[in-house]
Amino acid sequence: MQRAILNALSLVHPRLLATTTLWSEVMLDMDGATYTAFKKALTELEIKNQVVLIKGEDRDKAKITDAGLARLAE
Amino acid sequence: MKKPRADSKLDTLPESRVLELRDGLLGGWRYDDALSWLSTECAVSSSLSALSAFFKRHCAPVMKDRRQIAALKAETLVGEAGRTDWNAATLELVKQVSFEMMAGEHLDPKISEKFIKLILKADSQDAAREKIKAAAKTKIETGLEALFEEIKGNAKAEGLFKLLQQEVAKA
Repeated sequence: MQRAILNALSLVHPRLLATTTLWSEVMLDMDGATYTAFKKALTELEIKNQVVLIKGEDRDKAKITDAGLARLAE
Repeated sequence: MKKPRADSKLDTLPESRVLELRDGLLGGWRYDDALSWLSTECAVSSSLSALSAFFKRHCAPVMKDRRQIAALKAETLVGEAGRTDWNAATLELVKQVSFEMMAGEHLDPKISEKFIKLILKADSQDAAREKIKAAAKTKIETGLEALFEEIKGNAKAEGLFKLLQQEVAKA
């Protein structure tokens, strides 16, 4: 799940992607993904500084960091 | 005999129909709309899960590409515009909104408003800057004309005047 999130965000780096769009991307990539697991993975990635989450009035957005890109390159 | 998968019917449609269906789904058709279009236009009965699988195979890659291209374009367009009077936060806002517009993402109304105001303000600032520049140019030209009248006939002074004129033109 974390890798699917990072993959989706890396395609639009350094732009921010709405978490709703990100969730639909993950759903398309992974069969049987649940929203709870998605939220959990996103929070874990934020703790690891691989993703930055920006709260918005309308929607939250996410962006991959250099650490996230480095993880994908491993 | 094994029944063919419902989604395989969609892939065996003529290419033009596959593209029509793909474009329809990308353009916002609901699955119900797509099912009735398939039934009336292509005489094919399908299912929601078949459409979902079709979407994954045909529409998702297009959406990914569109987003990726939009992200690249947002960077290059703003870079090419060459504005140097915007701070980093403003440039970031312009890039993000450009990306969202080009990717066909839903735009936050407040962010859109901020963006439009910024563009309008930048336009009026450009116009004001041009006006000031034109006024300053007129003043300099008048001053130079007056100066030339004073030094007319003095070869050394006229030589220096030409150098001055060239420097003013460069500025």
